[in-house]
Amino acid sequence: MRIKYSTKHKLEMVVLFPGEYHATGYPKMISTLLGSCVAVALFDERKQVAGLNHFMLPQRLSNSQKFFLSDAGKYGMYAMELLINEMIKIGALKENLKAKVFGGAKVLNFPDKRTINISDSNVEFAFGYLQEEGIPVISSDTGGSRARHVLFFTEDAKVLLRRIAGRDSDSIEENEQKYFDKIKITDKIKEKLTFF
Amino acid sequence: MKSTSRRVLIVDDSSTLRASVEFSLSEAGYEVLHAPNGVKALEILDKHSKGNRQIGMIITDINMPAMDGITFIKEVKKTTFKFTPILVMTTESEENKKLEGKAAGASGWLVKPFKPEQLIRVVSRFIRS
Repeated sequence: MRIKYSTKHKLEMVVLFPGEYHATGYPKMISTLLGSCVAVALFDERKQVAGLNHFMLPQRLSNSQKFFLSDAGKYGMYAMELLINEMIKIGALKENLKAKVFGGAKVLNFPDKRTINISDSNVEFAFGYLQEEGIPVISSDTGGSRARHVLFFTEDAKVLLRRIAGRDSDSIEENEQKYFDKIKITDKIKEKLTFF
Repeated sequence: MKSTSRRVLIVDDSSTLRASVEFSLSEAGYEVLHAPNGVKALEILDKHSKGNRQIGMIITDINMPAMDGITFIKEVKKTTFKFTPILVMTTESEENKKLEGKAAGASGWLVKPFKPEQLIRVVSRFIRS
């Protein structure tokens, strides 16, 4: 995560990298570059709390199993819960939350059967999760073959989206590949249990 | 303390998490009750107390609307279920949060994400089969 100041918008800008999230009760811009990953913007208009995440699943969702029963789905649920919990701590109410969904372009090329078309699974998971949790999706821009730059304004939940191609897209692919290699390892979840 | 009842109460505001935990525990032979927050969970406990029905274990999240997990644990300790083991299941891993849970009366603290087999192993340490 990197904090910058936008002189153009006169706002603090939080730049998110793959696997990160940020929630706030203040007017800010949260920015991220998306390839195969998805970003879910959540906001509670009444309580003026908003947040954005950036994640991908460690493997493709299975067609025969509900997403919340699979290991890949559980990783996504964890990514979503981190953001929702942070927003609730700041004062958001879950029943007020609305969502916008972005990303899931076919940017990464995985030869492995477990990960081929992972961008589709990322998008499928985001919509499935939000539906199951009763969080309405009010806008989205997903799929396709071009990476995206998302700029989320937390004050009014407005999003500026730009599609990216060429060399700029290469660095996104590189960052996402590094993130994917990391979550592939953490997918071997260690039990973190404390007995009192 | 080990329980004998295979009835487990899950308290979590995430419906996907409740569904996922319910599936894993049901497959392992546990009867699962669930509530989306502490208030609803206390209502379930009250009904079971009046009906003299046992609950072997309570698994609760921390960050929930209506009543957070720590307050819920403190409230359970005022009921007839005060000796029922309570496992906290949360994304929070900070030591001060764990100490809060311990002080409130939790028996254990499991950090998300976890695999179904890990949860079943933890539950089996609290419930004697």
